Amino acid sequence: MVMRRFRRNRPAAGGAVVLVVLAVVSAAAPFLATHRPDAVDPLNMLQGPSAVHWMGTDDIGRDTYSRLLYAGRVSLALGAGVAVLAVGIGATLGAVTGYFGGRTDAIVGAVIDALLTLPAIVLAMVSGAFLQLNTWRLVVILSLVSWTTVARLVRAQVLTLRAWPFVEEARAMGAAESRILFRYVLPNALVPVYVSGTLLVAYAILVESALSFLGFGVPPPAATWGGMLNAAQLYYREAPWLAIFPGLAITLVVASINFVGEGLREALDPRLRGK
Amino acid sequence: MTRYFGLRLASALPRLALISIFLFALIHTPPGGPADIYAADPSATAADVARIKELWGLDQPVPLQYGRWLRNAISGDWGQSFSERRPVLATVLERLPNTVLLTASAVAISLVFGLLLGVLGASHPSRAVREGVQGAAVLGLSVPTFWSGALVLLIFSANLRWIPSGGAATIGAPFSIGDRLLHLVGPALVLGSIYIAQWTRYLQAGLSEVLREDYVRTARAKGLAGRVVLVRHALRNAVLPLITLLGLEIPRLLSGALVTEVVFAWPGVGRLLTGALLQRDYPLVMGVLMLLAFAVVAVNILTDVAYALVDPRVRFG
Repeated sequence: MVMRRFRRNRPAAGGAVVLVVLAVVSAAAPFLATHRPDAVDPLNMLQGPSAVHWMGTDDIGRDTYSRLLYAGRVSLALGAGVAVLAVGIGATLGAVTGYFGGRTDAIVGAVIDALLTLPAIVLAMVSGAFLQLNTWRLVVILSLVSWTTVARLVRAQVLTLRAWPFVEEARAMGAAESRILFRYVLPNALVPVYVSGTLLVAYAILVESALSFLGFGVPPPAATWGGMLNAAQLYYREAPWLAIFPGLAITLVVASINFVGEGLREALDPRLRGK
Repeated sequence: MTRYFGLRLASALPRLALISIFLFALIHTPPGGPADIYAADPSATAADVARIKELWGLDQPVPLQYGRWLRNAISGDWGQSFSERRPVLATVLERLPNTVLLTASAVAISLVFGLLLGVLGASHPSRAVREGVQGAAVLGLSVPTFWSGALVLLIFSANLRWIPSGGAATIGAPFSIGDRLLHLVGPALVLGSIYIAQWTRYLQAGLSEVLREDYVRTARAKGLAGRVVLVRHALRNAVLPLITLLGLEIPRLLSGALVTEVVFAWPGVGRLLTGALLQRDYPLVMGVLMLLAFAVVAVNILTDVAYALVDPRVRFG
């Protein structure tokens, strides 16, 4: 039912196809790349797109197309990693605070308020500037600043679900509270999380590329889309392709994920059924 | 009303205290503190470094350092910036008007176009137009500002030479409003573009829902003109949530401004922060972050109060 409604939504289905293709392409980067991503070629610096260098070369002669493929691996893996970790933290904390309430609820609520006071990107920037970063640490940092929405969603769901008769029945049958929460309540509270988890992937990719663009992300020589855009800034006039292709890649991925998220939202929303 | 305002204000204090503790710890606990920058200077002797540590209280544990920072900050002394060599508060306040100008222009632009597109997307008779608006809005949300900003510079500055390549004013030229606007239009449009998409999406969804309500059907059945129903009955109710959303979006708006400022070399708070971070200017970093936190909390309170004023269903107290 949900699948059918999702597939009928053309932008969402298109986005899903694009994502699968991009995931396969980045996984197969070593086979599809025409050059090594870090191969410096001083004789061919800032070359325009050609038969040899499909998307031109950068200021030290590295092949933009090959770097783009390898950077895609970093971005997609990071986006997926952040979404999984952030949903894990958010769903657990949201479920526990919504079900048990009390002091934990108050503390977690205060932490969420504090985290929402500063933009995630600023928190990640500060962490990036003062801690030694690599891709996995960045995944952890981005997850730690972006679990709040999921926690709020799940908490609200659990708050209503815990008053339902099936919870009372489980309790009457002698189930332990934690079992009731994680076996019966939480699975029913997860529906809106599918949508926000999907959108988190896009958000993480955007924040990571913004961080790399600003110079606080994954350190060079690793290729990232944001880092490539950062390096392109000095050559807007001489080598516009350096700025055009990485940005297109980010936009394509993020737009596809957003269309998929939008499609999921519509497919899962019972109020829109039969539209 | 005053009571409601007071309550909101009182609840902001623990929030600001918590965020300041968190930020101070984040900045000061990792190895390599402010004194290390001086220690790295070959002309500094061990005695110099020790004197600087004592002068700034860096030889004390982090909680004591925080207490000292807090006492000073409350009395208006936010410390001295290492890189600017002058008080943090003055430096930050000097940049603030530029950031306010940029974000306010972007919000104004985005509200005008977002309202128009949102109404179009919810009420246009053609389904293709409605879905087109929806798709364009999702697409608009997906374009990173540092890329759209780069494209704007590439096309309108490097090639067409319509707008300057960055900054807030022509260097050396006397102040003129025209010059200021010419520098502002690029970054304001780029920052505004995300929010055009954001408001369009919210308003389209909200208005479509309101248009299905019974009272809208009643108004139509009474024979009121479509436009009157749309604006007087439906739009008024669909716009209300935007006030709250604007408040919730402020942190993201600020982070967008930060990136846009860097792309367009706009001398605002965001560029100050990136510079301070790259130079590891501890007091300045802390000062900018706290200013951002204050701004977000203040806007949140204002939007809550504004919402309570326009929506009679919200009770004070």
